[in-house]
Amino acid sequence: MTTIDMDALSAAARIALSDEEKQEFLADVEAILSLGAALTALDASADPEKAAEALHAAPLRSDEPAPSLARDAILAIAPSSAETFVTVPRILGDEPETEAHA
Amino acid sequence: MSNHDCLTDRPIAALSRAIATGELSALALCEQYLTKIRENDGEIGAFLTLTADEAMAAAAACDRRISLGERPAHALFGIPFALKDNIVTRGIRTTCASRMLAHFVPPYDATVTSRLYESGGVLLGKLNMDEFAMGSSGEHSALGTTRTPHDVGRVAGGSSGGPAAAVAAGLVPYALGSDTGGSVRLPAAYCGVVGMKPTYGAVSRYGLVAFASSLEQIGPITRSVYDNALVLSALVGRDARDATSHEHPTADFCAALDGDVRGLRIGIPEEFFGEGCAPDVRDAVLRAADVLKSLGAILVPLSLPLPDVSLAAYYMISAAEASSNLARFDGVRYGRRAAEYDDIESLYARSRAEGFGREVKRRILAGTFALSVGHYDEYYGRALCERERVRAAMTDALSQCDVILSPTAPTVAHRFGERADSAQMMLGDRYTVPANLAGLPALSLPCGMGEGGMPVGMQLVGAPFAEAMLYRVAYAYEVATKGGDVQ
Repeated sequence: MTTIDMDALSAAARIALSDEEKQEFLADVEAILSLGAALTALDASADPEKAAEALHAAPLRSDEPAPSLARDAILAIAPSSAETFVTVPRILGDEPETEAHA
Repeated sequence: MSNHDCLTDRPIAALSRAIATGELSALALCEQYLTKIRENDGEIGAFLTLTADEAMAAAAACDRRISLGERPAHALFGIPFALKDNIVTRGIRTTCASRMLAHFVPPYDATVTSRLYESGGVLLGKLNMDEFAMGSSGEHSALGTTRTPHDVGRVAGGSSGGPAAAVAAGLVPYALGSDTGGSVRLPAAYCGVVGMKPTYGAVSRYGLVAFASSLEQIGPITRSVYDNALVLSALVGRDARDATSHEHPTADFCAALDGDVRGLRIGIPEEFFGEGCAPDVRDAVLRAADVLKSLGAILVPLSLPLPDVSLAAYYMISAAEASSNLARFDGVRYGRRAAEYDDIESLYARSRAEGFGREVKRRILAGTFALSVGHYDEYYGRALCERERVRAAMTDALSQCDVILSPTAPTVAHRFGERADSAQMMLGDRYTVPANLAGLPALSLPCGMGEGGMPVGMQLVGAPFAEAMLYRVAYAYEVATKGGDVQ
């Protein structure tokens, strides 16, 4: 079985986990990945890119401007907003406690 | 038809005819369903949100149109319906049965929602499900448990447990679910109703909260095959907002329901009836095959060694797509935001930790790992290759027969807590996932009773856009075994 670094995995998935939860989820993730063992026994000579290409052969929508949702409707469902912006913690600068506009 | 009849037992087409002639009031029908929901849903737990005021207003508007001489253009005019709570509804809470979206009120309607409104449908409410459609039993909802009306000590199935239970209990004439790996068909089997997963691309996914975009389709759940065909006819077609959607070659799925299956070839894949399939389920489905044979169909033995490798490919692909699709729930634009955080990264991580339940976290973590550098080819790449092999095997099988018949699930509905082991739970999907991997239409319909007097479902799988063929076979079986009043 592949070694799983749960610190790195929880950071990549952006899900905060306690040490206890990391142990619990390690077993869960290993259980799902163990299903993959059935796949590793198969002939891997087929080209995954070709498989992916065949699966995603749907036509793309034309790249043209179209009406979108109204700004007020977007702001109404945002967890935090100010004026015409969704607010988030400051990303740049030295004042992390200050909310910034996104 | 008298308004004093038990309207909630009537087929959709009969209700529709009565509304169109003014014999039945749409408002009276709506009120009868609302009363039944209030009296019975406490025990079943199908509804998360009841839209009683909006429903009565919509039904009254239908009655006004009829009184002004309008002839309804669609058979769903004035007919109540309900939606799985991952199909968005403008102005009506859409939770995905998750704490993440517990208070989310969408600013737009899904295409299927719009189409049913345009048909004159009356929305009664939103239905319970496994959180973000991840589950096979209905036990993973963060907002309550749904029970099968056949035995409230047992699960309704998942992830569309609310839609299946509501239809089975007669709380609504039809409901829409979504099917990523069996999520319409499994609960339909567990609750003894009819559930259709259409061909990938047959129904628009615009407004369906995405779990695994390359696998899932919206499909109807009803009490009869005819009702199901009627509802699907209102849903299919190209939608400019879903680039994967297609025009469907069949406009009216009811037209082919003549009860005639003479000369049709029914494939019987031996691997779907072998180890892992409970004897009561196997016997019921094979008896159903014999009924079809007695009607003139030809049974064709097949070898289709797919269940276990399909399951592995399905879980890899769906987890990978889930980890990508659910990245949008980060506490910034909508949904739950953690009360406390230090910076933008902790806002993301704590919002997601608080908002998602255990099953969702489990799949996101597994999918993130499967897509990570150094592991992509080993897990996701191989799963994509296996998916192509499944597609080729199903195509080959369908060159030997018109439809493939199998059990929908290996067992009948289990008791709550009986499958605490998630690996054991996943095995419940082993007969349904091949159709999702191959993008094929698949229908589950009841075919008798198994252990504990619980319903058994049989599955019919067909070629792409061959929904009419599945309905034709299912209808013939239904008429032969139930007779009479199926329209």
